[in-house]
Amino acid sequence: MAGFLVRRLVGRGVLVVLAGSLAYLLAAGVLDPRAEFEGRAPRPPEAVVEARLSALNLSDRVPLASRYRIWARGVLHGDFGRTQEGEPVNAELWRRLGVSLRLSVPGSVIGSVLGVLLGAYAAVRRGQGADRVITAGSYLLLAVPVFVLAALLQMAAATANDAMGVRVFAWVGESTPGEPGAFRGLVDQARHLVLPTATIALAQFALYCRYQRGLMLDVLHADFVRTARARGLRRRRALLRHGLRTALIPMITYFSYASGLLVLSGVFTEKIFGRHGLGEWLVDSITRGDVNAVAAIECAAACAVLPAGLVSDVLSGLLDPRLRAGAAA
Amino acid sequence: MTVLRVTDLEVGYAGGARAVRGVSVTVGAGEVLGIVGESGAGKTALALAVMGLLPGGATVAGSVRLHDEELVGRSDAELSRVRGKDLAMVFQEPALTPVHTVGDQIAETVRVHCGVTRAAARARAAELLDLVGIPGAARRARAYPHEFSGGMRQRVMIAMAIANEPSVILADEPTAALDVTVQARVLDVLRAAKEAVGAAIVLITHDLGVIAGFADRVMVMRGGKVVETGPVEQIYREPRAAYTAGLLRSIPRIGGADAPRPRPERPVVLRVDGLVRHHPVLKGTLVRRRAGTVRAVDGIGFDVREGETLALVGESGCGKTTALMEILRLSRPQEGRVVVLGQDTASLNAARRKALRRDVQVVFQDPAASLNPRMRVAGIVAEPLTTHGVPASLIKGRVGELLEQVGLKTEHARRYPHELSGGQRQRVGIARALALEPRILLLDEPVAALDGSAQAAVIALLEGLRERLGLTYLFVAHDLAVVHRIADRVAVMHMGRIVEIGPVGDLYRAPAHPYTRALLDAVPVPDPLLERGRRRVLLRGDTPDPMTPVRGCRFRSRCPRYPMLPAADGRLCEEQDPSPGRETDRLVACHHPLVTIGAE
Ligand SMILES: Nc1ncnc2c1ncn2[C@@H]1O[C@H](COP(=O)(O)OP(=O)(O)OP(=O)(O)O)[C@@H](O)[C@H]1O
Ligand code: SF4
Ligand SMILES: [Mg+2]
Repeated sequence: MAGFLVRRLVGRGVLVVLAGSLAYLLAAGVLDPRAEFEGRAPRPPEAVVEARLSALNLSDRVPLASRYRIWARGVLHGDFGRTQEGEPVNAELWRRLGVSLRLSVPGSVIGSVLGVLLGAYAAVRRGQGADRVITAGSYLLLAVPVFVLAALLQMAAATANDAMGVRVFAWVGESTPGEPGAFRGLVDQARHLVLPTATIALAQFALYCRYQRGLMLDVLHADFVRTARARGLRRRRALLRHGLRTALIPMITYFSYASGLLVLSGVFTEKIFGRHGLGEWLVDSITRGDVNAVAAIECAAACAVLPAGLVSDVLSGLLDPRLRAGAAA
Repeated sequence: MTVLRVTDLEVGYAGGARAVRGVSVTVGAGEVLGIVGESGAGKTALALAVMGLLPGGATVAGSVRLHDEELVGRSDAELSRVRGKDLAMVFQEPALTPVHTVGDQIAETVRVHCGVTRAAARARAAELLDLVGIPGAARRARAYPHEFSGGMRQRVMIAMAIANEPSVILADEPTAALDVTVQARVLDVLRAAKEAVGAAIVLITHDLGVIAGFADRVMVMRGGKVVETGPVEQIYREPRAAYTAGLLRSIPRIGGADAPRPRPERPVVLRVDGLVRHHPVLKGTLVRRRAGTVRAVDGIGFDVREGETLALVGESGCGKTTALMEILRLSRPQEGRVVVLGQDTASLNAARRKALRRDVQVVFQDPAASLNPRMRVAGIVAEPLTTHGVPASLIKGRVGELLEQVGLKTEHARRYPHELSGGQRQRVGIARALALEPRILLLDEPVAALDGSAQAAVIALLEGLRERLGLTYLFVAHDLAVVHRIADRVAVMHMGRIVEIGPVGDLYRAPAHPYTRALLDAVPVPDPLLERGRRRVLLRGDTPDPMTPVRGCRFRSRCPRYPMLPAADGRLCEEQDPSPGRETDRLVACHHPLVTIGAE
């Protein structure tokens, strides 16, 4: 299995290099940082703009190929260049990656676990009350845009705060400025995480719930579940031990890749809750025409798919003996 | 003593289908009750109702008593204490959970019913696997279902069924998905398992041959009702119901006296010489590497004369269909030669190949899958005519003619495939193949998907068409009884090779290759007395992995004759690959054939 994983990893590494290069070329080709500089008031003289752009490796007067070469050489040394403001991209990237991960990891884990469980439960109770409620709920969540959901949660939290007379929930930024003490600080940070995490979890929950319900319906009438019952297992036990276990396998791949990309797709949540993560930065950088930042974020996203793929391979291998055999052979 | 008593059982499916209507039957301790009937007779519905495993929405009325305890209307929890303990079931598809090892699944069956330790349950699992004849049971218990062949999986199902020594085992078509050779061994295992635990067996099947050798009593079902019940000898010798008599008449049988007919001196229309088709097996995702070769067809040769029918028989995976498809391609094979109507397929240009396509047509196994579900019958039959540029004015008349030829009515022309029965669908497939007036028809298991009576009717149709239109058939089948009825000559395939070829009569009466002999022995005879009195030679083991090359005879690992041979003779089998000679009417690829074949 180890050899198989290494081969897969190498294969994906090649893909990441391709994706990263493509992202840079696209960003450098389409975005227009010159316009941004020229649009500043007072308008800087032409020569100053050009000098500034050249220094940042952003000048569209230099051929794209040579800009790419300079950028790639930097990336090989672990340097993504500088933002338009001249700050190093790397430092900002790491900081924001941390912010995004703190938000997306708990959100997606909670959402997917709940989604899988309730989706499977709904399938087992197909057509009954519980299934109707879960199905209606997940459709509703799918139909509501994230920012509406976030606003609704904020309203609910505000009402709750008022009702209890204490500020249990807080949602602006990552922490309350000036909260004293290390422990109180942690509690405060956690308090700020509740609402955005819930937003992400609910959105993820709806997707996973629908998907898992469909997968589970397929195995509900599978011959091997019937066999298990014929051997004397109760329906619930047969469905859990034999049905759900098998229906989880396709879910793993989806889960891994979806959470790899979640780093970026949290953009609405980040914006609404004032958390300065990668998604927010990507949108801002695109509007500013900040080529180096955009390319760096895209590279980070492509790299996130690497561990996600690895996790997917390992988990699927553990869950599905058929894959294991294919890998060993 | 009666262990299972079913009284006035009624089963209705959601949607209103009344699958079982008032069936009453009893099963005595240690008895084998056979249930036969055509597809849709309600056999499976009856078994599922007894187990309490009908799909949601189905309704059950009447009574099922096991040891005088009522089962109808009990809760899932109560029934689960009976299922797998006192009442077990083996299904047609050996469906095991793909993600658990077979040993774990057997051990689970033991553990849900009695509180033994995990280790004890494991040991019992290995013991059971050994009992059902899985070699290296303790090691194989750790294997996953996909690592087992179909026959082995069915044996695991039997092991689970007998795990808790039930008093009744329901077996619903336990061998329908298996080859005859494997079927014979699985039935033996079932018999041995029954002896071991003294259970009664209810054996459901549409194969009257299987019942003849196995059951004590037979119940014939039709349309959800019991037609008749009686001791097996009586049902076979003097059935009371006309329906049963018809069912018995429709079975194709091996045997009967057929005088050896000399091969007619007619031109050869299809000649195959040293045909090879190897499939590379690739592995890897980004970089694909060649990991091995499946020798699907590995140098076969035969010829078919005009108006003759040659049957290719053999177990699943032996390369029958691949051989057929290679001929159908009408282009240069990987190795060897295919000559169709005097033209070498390697030297054809596109125009000549297209012209030749009209003369060689094919009928597939699964009529449901090979007909476009969104086209009406008339459109399906007309399709080859339009592609070959037949003017539209002529097509309508020709379609009517074709449908009549295959015994369909004009009103069928407007239907969609799903509005036809299996037999009717296969007739549409045949009509389509006949549309361009071919001279050679390649038939890939044309009746395997049909039940008894439909099978007999389609075979009769094929025979009639052969007479009237002077067709030549290359007929692929695994059912030796069907082959006996329709073929003039038979070629037996094993692992990509033809091991024996000859006229049907000779080959069936005096098989020369040990493999042919074993295949014939495995076919159950639909006659209780004959079937029970027979001495049979069964094959050891499963077909070897087609990817590992074998030195010497590739049948050696399963050959019943090889272990009996003196060492000197056996060495020949180990060292030399026996190859059939060329260009004679009867050939065998074995160093020590069972009968000597005169060199002609
Ligand atoms: N799930 C289902 N829903 C509705 N009708 C069904 C269902 N399963 C079977 N039937 C119908 O019930 C009748 C009896 O079916 P059953 O499966 O018992 O036949 P069978 O004798 O076992 O046939 P076969 O030899 O093909 O297995 C048929 O008319 C069939 O179409
Ligand atoms: S050659 Fe030997 S091993 Fe092969 S079939 Fe004949 S007797 Fe058996
Ligand atoms: Mg059935």
